[in-house]
Amino acid sequence: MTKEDKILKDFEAQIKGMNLSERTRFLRELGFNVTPKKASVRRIRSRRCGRRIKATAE
Amino acid sequence: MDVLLLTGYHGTSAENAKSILKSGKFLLSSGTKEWLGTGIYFYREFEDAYDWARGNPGGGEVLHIIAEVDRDRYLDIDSPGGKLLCGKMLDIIQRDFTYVVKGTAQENQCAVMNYIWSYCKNIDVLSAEFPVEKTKTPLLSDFRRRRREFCLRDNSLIKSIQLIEKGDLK
Repeated sequence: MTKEDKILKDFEAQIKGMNLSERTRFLRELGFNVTPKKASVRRIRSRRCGRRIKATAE
Repeated sequence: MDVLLLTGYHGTSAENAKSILKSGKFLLSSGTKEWLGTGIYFYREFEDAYDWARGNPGGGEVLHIIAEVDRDRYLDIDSPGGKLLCGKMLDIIQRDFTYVVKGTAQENQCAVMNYIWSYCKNIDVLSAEFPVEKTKTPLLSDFRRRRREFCLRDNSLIKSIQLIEKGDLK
């Protein structure tokens, strides 16, 4: 694994372990100007992801 | 350890140069638009630091440094993996975690670099090339002159600091 891949993997793992408010605070403290998408968008996204995971498993 | 000796040039005001030479330490540049995040910035070429120093009232000074770093702890943002790093990190934030990212390219790059500085303890140097001037006419290939910068966070990596006297310039 390259240095760059490791940075991305660590970053993803780190923010995955946070809840929405912790993640937003963390990203803003780094300097990202971020706004979480509306809850409805997040729900659709998570439902779609769920379907994809299910379809892959089948 | 595979040692890499880096030569760099730092353009600053005469007053700051005096203080750096006295203390043997550089202060970290910080802000939301630092291209390589919060750190100590050096140009690889003397001319670029000289141009920067000339912008100071009274002309400014150029300091020459030699830094000793472990090659494994040097990250070139222009490497194939490095070029993709900023974009992929934004993809993770936007696509996987459904955020809207509104910052400018410079602010986003600064945030990515600050993540590396804060959480990747195996990196001592970040380096990249940046265009000298803004885009005028968009072309498929970027023909603008570029200059290479590198950024450190740890003063202890700097093994020598020297003032380049005006008489040294030929």
